[in-house]
Amino acid sequence: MSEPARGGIAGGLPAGPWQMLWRRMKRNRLALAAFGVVVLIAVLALGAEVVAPYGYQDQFRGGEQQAPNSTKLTRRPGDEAPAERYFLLGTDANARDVFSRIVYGARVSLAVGLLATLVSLAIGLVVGLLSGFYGGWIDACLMRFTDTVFAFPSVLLAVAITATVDKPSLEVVFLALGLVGWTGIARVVRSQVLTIKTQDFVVASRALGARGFHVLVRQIMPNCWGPVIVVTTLAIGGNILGEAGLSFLGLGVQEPYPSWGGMLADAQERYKDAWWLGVFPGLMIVVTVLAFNLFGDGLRDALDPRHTRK
Amino acid sequence: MLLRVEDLKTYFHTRDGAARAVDGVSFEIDAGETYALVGESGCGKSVTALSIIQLVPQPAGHYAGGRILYKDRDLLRLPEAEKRAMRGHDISMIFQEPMTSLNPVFTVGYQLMEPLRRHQYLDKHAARLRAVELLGQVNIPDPEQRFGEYPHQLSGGMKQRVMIAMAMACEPGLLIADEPTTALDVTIQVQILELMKELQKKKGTAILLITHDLAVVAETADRVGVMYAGRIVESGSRDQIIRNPSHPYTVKLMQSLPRGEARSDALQTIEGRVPPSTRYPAWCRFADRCHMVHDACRTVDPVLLSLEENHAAACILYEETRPGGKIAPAEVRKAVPAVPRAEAPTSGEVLVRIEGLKVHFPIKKGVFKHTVGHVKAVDGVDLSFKRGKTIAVVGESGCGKTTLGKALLQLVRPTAGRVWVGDTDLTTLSRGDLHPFRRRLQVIFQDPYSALNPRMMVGEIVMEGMQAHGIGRNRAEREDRVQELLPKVGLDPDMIHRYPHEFSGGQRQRIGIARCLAVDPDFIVCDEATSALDVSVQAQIINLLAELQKSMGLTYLFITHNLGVVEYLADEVAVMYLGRIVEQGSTAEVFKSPKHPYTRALLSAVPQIDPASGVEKIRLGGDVPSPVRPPAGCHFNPRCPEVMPRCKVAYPDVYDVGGTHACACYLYDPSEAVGAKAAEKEGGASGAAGEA
Amino acid sequence: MASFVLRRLLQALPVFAGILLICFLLFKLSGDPTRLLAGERAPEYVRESIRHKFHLDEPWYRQLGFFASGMVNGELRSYRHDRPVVEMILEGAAVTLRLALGAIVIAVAFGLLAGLLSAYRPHSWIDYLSAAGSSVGVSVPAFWLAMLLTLLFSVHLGWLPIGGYRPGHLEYLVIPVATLGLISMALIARLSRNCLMEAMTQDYVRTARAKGLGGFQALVGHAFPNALVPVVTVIGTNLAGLMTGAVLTETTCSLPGLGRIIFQAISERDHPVILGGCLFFAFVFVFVNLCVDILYGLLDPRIRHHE
Repeated sequence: MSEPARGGIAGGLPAGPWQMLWRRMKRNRLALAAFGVVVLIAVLALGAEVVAPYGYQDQFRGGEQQAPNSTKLTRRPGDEAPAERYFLLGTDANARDVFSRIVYGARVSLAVGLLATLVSLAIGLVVGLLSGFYGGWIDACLMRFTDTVFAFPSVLLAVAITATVDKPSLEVVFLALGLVGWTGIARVVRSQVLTIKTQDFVVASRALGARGFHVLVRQIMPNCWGPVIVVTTLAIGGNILGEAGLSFLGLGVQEPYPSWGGMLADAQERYKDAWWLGVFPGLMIVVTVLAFNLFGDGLRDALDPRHTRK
Repeated sequence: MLLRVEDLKTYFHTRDGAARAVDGVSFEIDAGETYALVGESGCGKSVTALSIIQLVPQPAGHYAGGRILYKDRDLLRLPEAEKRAMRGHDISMIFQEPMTSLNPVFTVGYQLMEPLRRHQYLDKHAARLRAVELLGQVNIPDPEQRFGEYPHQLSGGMKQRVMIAMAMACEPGLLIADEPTTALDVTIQVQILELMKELQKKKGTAILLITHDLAVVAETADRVGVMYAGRIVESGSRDQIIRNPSHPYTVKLMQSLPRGEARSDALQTIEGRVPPSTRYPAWCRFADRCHMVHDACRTVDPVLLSLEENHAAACILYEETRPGGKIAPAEVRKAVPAVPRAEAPTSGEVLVRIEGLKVHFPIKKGVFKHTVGHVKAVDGVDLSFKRGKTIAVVGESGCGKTTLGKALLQLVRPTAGRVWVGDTDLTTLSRGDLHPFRRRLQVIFQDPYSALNPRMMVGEIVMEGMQAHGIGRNRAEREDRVQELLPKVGLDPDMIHRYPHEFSGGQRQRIGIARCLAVDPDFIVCDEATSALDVSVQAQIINLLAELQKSMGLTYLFITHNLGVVEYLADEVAVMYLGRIVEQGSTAEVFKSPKHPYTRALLSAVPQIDPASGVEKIRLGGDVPSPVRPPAGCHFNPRCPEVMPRCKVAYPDVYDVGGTHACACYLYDPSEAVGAKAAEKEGGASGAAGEA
Repeated sequence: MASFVLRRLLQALPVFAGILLICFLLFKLSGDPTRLLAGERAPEYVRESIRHKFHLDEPWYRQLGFFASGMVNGELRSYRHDRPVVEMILEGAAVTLRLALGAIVIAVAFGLLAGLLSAYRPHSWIDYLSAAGSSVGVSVPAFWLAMLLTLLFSVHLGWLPIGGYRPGHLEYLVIPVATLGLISMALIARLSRNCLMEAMTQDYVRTARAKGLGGFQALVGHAFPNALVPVVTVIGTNLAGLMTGAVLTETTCSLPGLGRIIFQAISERDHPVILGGCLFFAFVFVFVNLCVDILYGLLDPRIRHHE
């Protein structure tokens, strides 16, 4: 956003708001660690082919429901002879490697988490900005609509949306979650706009003859980002949980492609005997969601207005 | 000796090291006297107060040294339980913001009973009786009823009275008042200060008054300590400090106060900023800003040196062993050169004229949000602005002065009335047609923090208006223009690539001024433009505004509650009360012989730096009524000391009272025999006031 | 007060109408329900008769009208079970409400306690423990927590039954209530700590300290009543959210609650039941929010006097 500096000040870059944010974030070790975990999981997801020892649908005959940290002589379809194989997190009832499936499952969780949040962000931003900026009947209508969607039981609405298609897929899942989850973002954006709208610098901009759209985009929007980034980051965690829930109900990505929620659904019948089937995918969900939440909390602390004037 | 503070050091842990908020402060307070700590923001006076009552925020704050002896007990070394027993019982405190200092969810009575039950072990019934009695003692009408009310049902002045009642409940030996009247209007300030004095006399309480306002000090304090950068730099009796300021800082501070008598000179300013409390130099902390500085100042850390009995200043000019001998304080005062004030040329041409301007905001209620009434923020105002002149609109909070400014600029569309700029009535223009006029009419705001977009660089902020009005062909050209403009408002041209948070309040205000000037306006509304600033910075901004007026021929509408600034700066004054102008005239006319009873009360309420001025305070009863249902007839009638029967019937016309001076009061109705007589009588009284 | 309640109920009407419309739109999008009701291979005349029975052969606005009037007079019947929708909903709601109320009581009691202790001793071990617990708590999928609890208490220790429900037997509710309660507790503990810490920095707390109150007295006596206002909001939205979060828990624990009934109905394309369930949830939501608003008034005299 900055033009090439002409006659800029000596002694380093100007400290813009983003640099200040980064400086504060750097001091928060927990949030940085959370960010590290997020990066790690992203690496797992992107490099699944390299990280996972086996394919997600490879079935190893003779290695059904193996406990974690076990080695077993198994035979994969197409193998000439059975081979000794190591299963870090054990295998499921179909003799598939749990660790490999978890690694591939990260793709689904992250993709849905991010894409659904983007959908929510787009809707929430438009609704919130228009509602807050224009006020009056536009605000009244949009807010009633927001209330309606908010009053819907969110899981059920997502379920109902996925149920409109015959066979759920990744696209359907993230659209459903995105279409359900924007109300919180819209409310945050709207309240931000309402606060900023009355600030003197916005009045000054109007007094200088700036047009409405310019005021909205140049003056108001850049000042909304802080809290919006925070709710958005937290929404990613929420959407990962949502995806897991839908997959658990059998409405997510379909077999044989793995998703953590789907793996838990499969485990439902068996985890009483094979605990690892129920524990590890759930643990991954918790770790991922926790990482996004802690990162979001860190952002919130760094953006807290109480720190800014000191 | 009731309280003795010895070499108190209160530091705060920060990322940049220890912030030495209070750094070696010593003073004493006797029973029954008022000691004032005065200084600009950030000098450590509030932290001193919090240290005494042992409420410095923990764990960031800590006491790095010194003693606080209250009746010979060292408060720093008391166990926590004894500190609790001391707070509210021996030492109590009232704060600046009465709006937030009372708990919103409890009744006034409950909060008042708390210290009584805690320290005096009264039962519920006895505490209740005593609380009602206390409310009566602080002159709250209907104490029985107020007892059961919540803070939001009381006005600001009323809340501060409750705070005082609470603080005085256990008749403490020491009352600490931290800027007790700063958030209040001046007519309410008089009431509160008088109440404090009265209670002090009755109960023999000592008062530690923390304030930034030298005039309040002059009117209330017995002894004074002037604080700068965590230290007391000068101390003495009230008269010594006010009549005989000796430390260069005190001298400058006094001379930077805008006053009517000093209209012909530019205000004195203190250049630079207070050094950050994490990086105080090892020598005199004022050296970099001092007009008397010399090499030796940067070698020693000055200590308080006695000048005469009880009067001391921390400046090496007063060192006996100084080469050339100790200097006389009068020389320090004389060393400040007077600069004549810039006067703008005027043509007498009327630039902007407003006629019958009204702004009414609807109040909506009920199931279907129907309109049940109107807030008549501005209710029929006429004013005309001559090119190159400054008109000040003064009034207390809620009188509609800010809305008037916004309506003039068409930022709020008026309900009725006209705003003429030349032959064009702005109120009839569409948004698009208004656009060229936006360039000519500009505004400067009160709060330098919210006036600048924190996400935009200074250059972008200043250029915004140029873009909107097509000034400059491209970005480079506009940027050149900004770089020419910044020095004119006293800023470095290199600052265009920096963000607002890097600047101090005064600098931000300059950026705001540059933003206006970038579009070449004729007319600027200054909405409390200096009210949020410290005195020395305020002086800089006022000087800047005066210079710009001269060099660019600007016309100002100066909206403020600060009458000192008005008397110094304005050519004409309009006094506003509940949406209407009650009196109008040249500054000399209004200040020398105020006509309207409200103006007279308002002017008399302003604290005077010269305690011998002898202006008798006119105490107004009650608060400003709500603009939703203003009193019938003259809106001022319920508070007016000279109310007549007809005042309650119809709003008075505007009567000419000589020269350019006009007043909306029946006392000046020439057809009224009573009026003529009253005017005569008042003529004598105002003569006395006029000499003040 | 009456005008306030009336206004809130009027404001809720468009919400109900909106839910009816959104549901109807989803019904239309989800294709012909007779395919599932009669089976893929049913002859066309069978389907035709089903369509006729449920007014599916009429124009869309008449169908919408049937739904609306059926909802209002309570005569709407399930496509599949041939029972009045109201009866099915109430049956399920009895289970779900028990679950939600139990959970919220646990959550509020322990959540507030944890928040208070954390705010009283910030940066102490109890604060860190509570912070860690609540961070994890809000990141756990409810159904997984239920699985873990079952694994521990039912499978390993054998103290509790594994899933299912028998009316009158509270032991079946322990795991689902604990699951939902722990998750909401995390949320409330976190929020109440933040609100309390915020309130402790307010001027009125300083005033209370200046009167001689100790830190704990100022926290409980002055900060707490103020901090309750935002906490109550979250408890409100949370209770509504709990009802829906119950869907997953009910599935895991095989409870015949409302969530499961609606989920079942969605997969069977039993439109009247879906609609009834969603409207019931919306009603709970509106009702809870109304209670929250009234509670606001009780907690904060400024709001009370404003209305």
